[in-house]
Amino acid sequence: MVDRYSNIDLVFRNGLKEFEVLPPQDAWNGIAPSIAGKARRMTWFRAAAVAAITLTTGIIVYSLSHALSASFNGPAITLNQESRPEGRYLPPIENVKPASPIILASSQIPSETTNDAFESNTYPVAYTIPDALSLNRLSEPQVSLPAGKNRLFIMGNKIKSNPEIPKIITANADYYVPKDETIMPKRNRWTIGAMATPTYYSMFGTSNSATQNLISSESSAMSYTGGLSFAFNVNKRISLQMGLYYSSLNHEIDGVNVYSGFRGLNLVHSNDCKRYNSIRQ
Amino acid sequence: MSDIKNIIKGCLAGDRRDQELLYRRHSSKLYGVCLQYSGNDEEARDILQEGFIKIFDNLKNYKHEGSFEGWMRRIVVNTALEKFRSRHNLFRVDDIDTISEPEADPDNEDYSGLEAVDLLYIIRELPPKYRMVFNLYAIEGYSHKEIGSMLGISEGTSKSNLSRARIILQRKVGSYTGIKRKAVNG
Repeated sequence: MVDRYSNIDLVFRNGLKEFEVLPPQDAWNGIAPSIAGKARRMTWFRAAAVAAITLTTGIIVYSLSHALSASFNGPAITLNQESRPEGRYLPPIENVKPASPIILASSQIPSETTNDAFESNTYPVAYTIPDALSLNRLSEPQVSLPAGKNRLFIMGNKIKSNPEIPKIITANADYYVPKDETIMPKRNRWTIGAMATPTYYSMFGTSNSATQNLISSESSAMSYTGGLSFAFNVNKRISLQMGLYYSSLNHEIDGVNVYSGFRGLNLVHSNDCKRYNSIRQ
Repeated sequence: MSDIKNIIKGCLAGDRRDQELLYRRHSSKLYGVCLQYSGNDEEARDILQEGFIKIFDNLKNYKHEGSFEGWMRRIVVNTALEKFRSRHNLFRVDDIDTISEPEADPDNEDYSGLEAVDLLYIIRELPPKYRMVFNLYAIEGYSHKEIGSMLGISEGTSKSNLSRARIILQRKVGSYTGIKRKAVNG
């Protein structure tokens, strides 16, 4: 019986083989939100994962950079850097022994560029370099470096205004002479000085006619000021100063009548109001 | 082929245009499958929507081996089966004795006048369990053993259901062709 009706299978199989019917118009509307929701969740998951990784990496890098900068209390040198900083590069000079204290890179720079290799007490502080590297002393090129390599200098905490951040300069010459302003010499905060200066003395009048007549009769004389000064250097441009000074203020007055008792005195010349050392009677 | 690969790639990346393009390209054929396995348009629509959601969910598992259309068709058929199992666990099959054999000889029957729409109409009039077995065996090509495991029935039950489905279809096709013939001649 089954075989007898098996022909009907072919009828339906062939008849429905390429059968297509357009689905209802709104069928896609029931599918799209489900797919979009999942896609959106995936996007959010990925975004959250990326943000978490970025944040974690940032924290680690920030922590490491702080730990690294804090560890550079003195100058350090790394190798194999590409860029050249501002500065003057001297040709290699052979058979010259560097003066001390300076960085003698050939004997002290580690062969590997690793932070662990640097010890702040291995190198002299940066402010000792300028004198040694002065252009007037070309016969003593001070930074001798391994041949054929570029270097990056981390010059320690004595550089410029920010004492916390090491100054980084790089060089790819055999010797490196930094610009004068690149490395600041150590400065004394306190300064003592002597001062002597001529001084001009003048009086200003009031509305009183008698006083104005008195002032008009005065004329300046040679005055001077001198003494010791003390200065505190706040930074490169500003300093606070104080001192102990002596000033001699002189002026001349003509036509002043002075009476003593019943006698009239004619004061024709005076070097100082308080010193009547030139009185004519 | 590379085109469908690009579309699949876009779908996997969450590109809405590619998702809709994939749907537009294949929804007509798959909706036809859904109509075969469902008793009404509403059920067919549900199967289509659930089937496409599964297709998009499982695109990442598609290995680009074999026909992509066949892969999608299998997902839609499985969706129809799941829906059938959930709805028709307590399905009651008409007793074989109540189904009378058609009077016409099936070998001499002329089916040339039947169109796909007619066949769909006839097959959807089958009881759900017969329709399932007939579709899986005659259209999809599964064995009775596979059908039995899919539907949770024995191999013998699958065979008997297929026989009953064929008898019913034969009878309905005969009457349908007769009606059409009368309509054409009349």
